[in-house]
Amino acid sequence: MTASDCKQLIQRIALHDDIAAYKQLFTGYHSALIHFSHSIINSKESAEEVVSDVFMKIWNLRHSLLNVENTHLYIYVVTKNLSINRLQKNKREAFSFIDDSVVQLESVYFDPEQLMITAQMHERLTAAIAALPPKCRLIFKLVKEDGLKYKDVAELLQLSVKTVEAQMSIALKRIAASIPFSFSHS
Amino acid sequence: MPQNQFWNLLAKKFAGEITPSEVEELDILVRQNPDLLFTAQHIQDLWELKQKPNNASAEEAFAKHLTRIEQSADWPGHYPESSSPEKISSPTRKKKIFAFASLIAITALAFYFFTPLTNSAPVAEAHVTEISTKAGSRTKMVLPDSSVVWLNAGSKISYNPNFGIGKREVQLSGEAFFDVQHSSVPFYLNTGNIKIKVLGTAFNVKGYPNEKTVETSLVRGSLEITSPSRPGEKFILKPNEKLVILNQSSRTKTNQAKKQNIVILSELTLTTDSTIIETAWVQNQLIFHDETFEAVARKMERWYNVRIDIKDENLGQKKVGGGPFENETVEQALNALRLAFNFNFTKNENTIVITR
Repeated sequence: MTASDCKQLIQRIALHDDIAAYKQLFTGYHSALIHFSHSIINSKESAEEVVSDVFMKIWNLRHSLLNVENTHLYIYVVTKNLSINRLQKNKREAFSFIDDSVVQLESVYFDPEQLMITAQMHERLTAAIAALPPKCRLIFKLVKEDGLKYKDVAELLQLSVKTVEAQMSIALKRIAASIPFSFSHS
Repeated sequence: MPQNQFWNLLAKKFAGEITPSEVEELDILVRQNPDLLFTAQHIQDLWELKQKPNNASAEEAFAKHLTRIEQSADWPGHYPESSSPEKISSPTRKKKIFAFASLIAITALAFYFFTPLTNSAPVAEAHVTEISTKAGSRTKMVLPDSSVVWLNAGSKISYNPNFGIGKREVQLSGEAFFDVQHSSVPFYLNTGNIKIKVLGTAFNVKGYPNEKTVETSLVRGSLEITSPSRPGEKFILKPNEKLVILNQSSRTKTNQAKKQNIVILSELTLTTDSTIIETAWVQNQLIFHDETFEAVARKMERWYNVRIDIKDENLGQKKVGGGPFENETVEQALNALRLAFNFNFTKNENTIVITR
């Protein structure tokens, strides 16, 4: 879901109570938000409920959403807040979700044949991604799969843009290291 | 540290965060470290992967969500089953639906490979991937199907995002050696006025726009060459054969005179230690064998990134052989040739003038 698609759907929902747009918004964000919420509360069932709450909130607040500039980021911020609320309600110990997130990348867990890369190479890639520090992997996922801008990720996770840049560099470098070099240029 | 800066800029490029001045900086870094291109290519392929859309579970979750939200006071009645979002038509949506339909029709593989998570990412609008080398540099790259391509100096290869869907197709300008991964998906290469079809094979193609001929040399496997200028004809190459086809542009110039020479089938040329001359450049070797001095000069220009001017026409048509040159400078290579073929040269910065 791109930021501009998101904005258009929100407008249709706010102005016309457009249920088809609401469904499209829900199904478009569902998987990404489940993963994001899961990375905070570490429970699949709770994540499902949180995402449902997020969309309840979107429906109830739809008219005021017309004033929200970056609705794409807004949806992630609401998901983060509701996830943290739920954690506190469950009286779990507070923890830094950024450093303990369990987020996984969906787009690289593929059948190697569909990827058209060798199985061995695929193994190395997924291993490299799995071995990224949680914070690094979460940032990489939010940028790559969820299409958030660096400054959005920084705002969402309350980090500096420089940190996001640095973590993205680390992710790419680590992944690159898993690709075997067969060529040395003289 | 330039390496860290490279990863930083590459990440920004993929994330769409890169500024025009950073694009230039990245470009320079890649030119200084051509090996990085290979890795960058792989990471780009990875970046462009989209996850399998799990519409079933999203639909299911929405149905569950509906039972909650229908309790809301302002929910406008029941959700009508028939008005699924797929029916909403806008020009881009229609295009996308059409694109999806064709993709699914062609191959299930394509469906998984290119279907985005949401319905929003454009399928057909993704950019063409283009890799090029300047004179004086060569590089090796891997295509999305794991086929390996060595790109000689001053060459360019490109493929569009549907590479691998129904067919694998690349465009080449210049010279490249292909080691094509075997697959039932046919691989097509277009260069100059010929089209080459292969299934899995290793071959070299030399089709510089400013040269008179397009040469295809087959090392192993088999391939099929067609040319719009010779409709209805198919040339099947066997290993160790080479096909030379005159470029359309130069053919019109030479007119009738050389018509019998438009297509030449010959064997690959081996040196005494059985190096194949046509593909020696892949091993970083520059070899000349029974070529006109003019052709040798064009090769050296690309290899060393220099300009070579042959002032004597007879000398230009003279057949020359020599090499292999590996780490020699252009002066050393010319000095070696000079011993056998008797000419003089002067070098001024990047321009070399050859006289008798």
